[in-house]
Amino acid sequence: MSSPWTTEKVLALSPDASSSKSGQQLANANKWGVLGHNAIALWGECQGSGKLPYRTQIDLTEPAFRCSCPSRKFPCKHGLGLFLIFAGQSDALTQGNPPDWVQEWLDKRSQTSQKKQEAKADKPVDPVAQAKRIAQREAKVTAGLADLDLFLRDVVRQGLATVQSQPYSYWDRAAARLVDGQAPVLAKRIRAMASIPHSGQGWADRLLTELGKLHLLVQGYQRRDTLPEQVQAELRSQIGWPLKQDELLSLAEQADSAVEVCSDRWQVLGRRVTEEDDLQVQRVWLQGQASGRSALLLNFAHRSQVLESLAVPGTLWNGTLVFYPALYPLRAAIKHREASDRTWMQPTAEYASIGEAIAHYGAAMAQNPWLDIFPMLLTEIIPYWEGKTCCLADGAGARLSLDPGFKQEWTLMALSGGHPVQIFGEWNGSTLMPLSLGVLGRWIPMEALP
Amino acid sequence: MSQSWETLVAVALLGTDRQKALPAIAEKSVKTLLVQVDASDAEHWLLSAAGTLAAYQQAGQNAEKRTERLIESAEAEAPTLEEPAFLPFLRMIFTQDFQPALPEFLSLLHQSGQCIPPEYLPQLLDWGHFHPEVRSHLRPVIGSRGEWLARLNPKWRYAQATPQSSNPEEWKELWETSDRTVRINLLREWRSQNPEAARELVATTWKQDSAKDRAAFLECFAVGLTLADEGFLEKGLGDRSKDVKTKVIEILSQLPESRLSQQIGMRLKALVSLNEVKGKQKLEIQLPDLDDPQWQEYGLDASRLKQNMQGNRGALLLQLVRLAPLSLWTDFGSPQTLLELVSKNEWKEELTQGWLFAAQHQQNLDWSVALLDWAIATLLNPLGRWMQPLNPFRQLFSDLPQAIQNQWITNLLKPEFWKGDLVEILISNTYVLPLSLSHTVLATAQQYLIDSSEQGQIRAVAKKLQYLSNILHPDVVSKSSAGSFQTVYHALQTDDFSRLWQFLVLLQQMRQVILQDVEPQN
Repeated sequence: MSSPWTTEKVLALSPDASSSKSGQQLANANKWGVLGHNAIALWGECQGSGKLPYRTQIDLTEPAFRCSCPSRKFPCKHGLGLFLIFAGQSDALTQGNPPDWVQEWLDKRSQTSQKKQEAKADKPVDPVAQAKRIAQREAKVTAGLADLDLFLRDVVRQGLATVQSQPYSYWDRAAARLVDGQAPVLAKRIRAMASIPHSGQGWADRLLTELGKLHLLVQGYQRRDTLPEQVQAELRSQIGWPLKQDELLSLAEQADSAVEVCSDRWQVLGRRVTEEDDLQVQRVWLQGQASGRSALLLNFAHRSQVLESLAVPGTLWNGTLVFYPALYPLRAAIKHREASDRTWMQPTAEYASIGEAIAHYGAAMAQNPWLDIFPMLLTEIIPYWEGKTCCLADGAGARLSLDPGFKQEWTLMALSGGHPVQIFGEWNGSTLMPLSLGVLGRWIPMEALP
Repeated sequence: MSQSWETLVAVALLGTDRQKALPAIAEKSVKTLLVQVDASDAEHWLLSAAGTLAAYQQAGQNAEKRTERLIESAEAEAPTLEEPAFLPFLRMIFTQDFQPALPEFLSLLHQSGQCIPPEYLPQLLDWGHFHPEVRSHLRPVIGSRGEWLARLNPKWRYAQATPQSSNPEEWKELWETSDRTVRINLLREWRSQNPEAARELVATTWKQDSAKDRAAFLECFAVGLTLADEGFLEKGLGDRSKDVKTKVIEILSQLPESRLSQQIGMRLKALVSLNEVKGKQKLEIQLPDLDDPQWQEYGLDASRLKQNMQGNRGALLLQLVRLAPLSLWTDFGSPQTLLELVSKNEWKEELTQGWLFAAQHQQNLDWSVALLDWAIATLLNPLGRWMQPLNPFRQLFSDLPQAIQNQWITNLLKPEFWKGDLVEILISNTYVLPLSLSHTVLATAQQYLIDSSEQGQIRAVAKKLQYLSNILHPDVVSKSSAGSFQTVYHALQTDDFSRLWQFLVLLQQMRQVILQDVEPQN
């Protein structure tokens, strides 16, 4: 039996490099007792350090993983190892009926989505308690933003040159007040600001830009009652108080005009997992094949928790997304999705040139001045070196620089060989962080490359 | 950045406390918006202006124009949809730290006519940068993409293709136009094809080449070295650069019949005598005179020799022993006899070190074997104290012909072999041992473990076996051969052994899978 999964594709699911490594170490049939599969699932028993072997199972329709090991990584190394055996030497797995422990899980999984829907409908909402909670948070946010307002003014009153010599605690105190004020996203931005004065040339420009944008945010939020609904929604998500996913989905159920619902055949363009303090953040970028729309799926987990995989880069599936209300809606939640087609084909070109991509970014910025990350799918792009910086050039003579945090420049160069390639990445207004690469008919997530 | 933005930043840097006057904004649409902002509230106005103008500029930015030339593109690759069968091995080598298998992997790839896929080139080229010993295996399998990539990164220059030309008439132009790394590769290549023509070519640019280049070129003369090179080399004895001079002497000393070697040999021989002292033979050495002007003539700067524990004269003695032809010693005894004779000699260090260097450079088989036997005897002797680094011996061993190596290992293999550091001598061996010898290696390891009851030994032996694993014949792990290794392995299932087992299995599978489609060549 041949499997559509290759090692490369399986490794794309790995949460990080060390998991990839341990997963590959376990991709050895000798380390497994039981190994089996049927059309929709894989399972295996792997001897770990404990007395009982770990039971690992994979539902191939998603794919979804489950393992009895205590690891907080998701998928864990056993899941990856089992999947890698399937991808590389599927003969090592015996075809047959799943054992009870696998069947139970599969049954439960097919029921879960149904149950979720029912549970949601059944859950009683106490409108009085809810209103009280909202009012409480509202009060805290207002106080937090008033503090922030004073802080920003204080910075420009002293002057950026003076602030440059302030210790980290200066910023951290301001950030802590925003945490108390339940505006976590703003707290994060203030902490990030602390490093700008030491970031080299152009630091004052960057710091002033950030101060100005935060100021507009505070001003906007304080006058939000006078602003249109979408601006209000944007302001709320900017301070870290967005709609909850179930609130969003229930608005969609009620066909509320504030939320947009879009059905399409979605292609998963790329994925990025970052760590911010104790939080893991996963961003998955989609593109609708018919609508051409970009969408962002976002989820979080505490560092010690499992970050659930949302979608596999390179896959395509039919589904319905609900967009969070915003000035330039990108973030979305899945209302419904069908099983994936694993085609790994190159996506359709979005922008013909760098100039066009930047013009689109400009148009998006004009709609949402707080836009921080913008998805860019570039086609016919050649990577090249400008001194020590890796850049991309298009046929029209335009260029852009890659993010200094991008470490796979040589892999990119090697795969392109000076020939045009397709690149998908996140544009932050000045540099691009590549997430996936299209070359010679392959669509490869950067995380699957060495 | 606009003028208005720069003035805003200037005000912000100073702070509104010190800089009361607010700047003018030239951008019309931003200016119109700012009219609504209370300018008497300076901080509020400045922050609002900054936020608005920054967003305005970001939204209005244009793509930057490329100013630098694009690189020339490499040969296009054909699309590959199927993953090549060798790829899992390459991944395993890097993810499980089995890099000692790389040379074997790369040469299998070469034998099967395959190349490394582009995405793995950077990792491998980097590995070659830090591990020169894999470079010769790497070069043939990087393909045109790899050669293209190697031109872009100075660290990877070593992998650049050397232009091929067997016609010496085309060499001149290549020699004059290539860069340093390529010239060195070319010279080495040409020395093996036509040493005369290569030497003449070097002479044509000798005066213009830097001292660093000259020294590097001299090193290539070791290839195809004959007495015909003597004339050219001797001119180098008067070179301005000390490094070049040292290289010339070293190369000349590899020609025992050269005038310099012979002269040094004669001078040295005059300082040595074999006398009977208290009924025992003793090799007596008279130390060389530092002030003799002739040392200078030989290119030996006696006053600047690095002083060793025995002082300047000892250092000069060492130099002479290193450079003199080994044949001069035959009058005093065989290599074995001499090594035994000097075991308590006050100049033991200088003599043995010098012989070691000379045996290596003069490729003297008798001396090489004798020195290795001597090292082993000392290492295996429970009372012998070993003070010398094993590196030179390792080199000496790997230079031996394969048959002699195998013979030597056969003689040496006893359970005691696994005690101490002995095994390190075999590490850089480039030949794979025959299957029977590989079995013997494992059998002696097993016997040693049975004999020594210490638990800690298992680990140590496993580590040593790991060093040797890439010279063991891959079939020692095959199921059909009831290898002793399996017995050892099953009896002592520790992590170290299971890793070693995996490594050997990797080597064996690599051969099977990568070579499966290759037609056997007869």
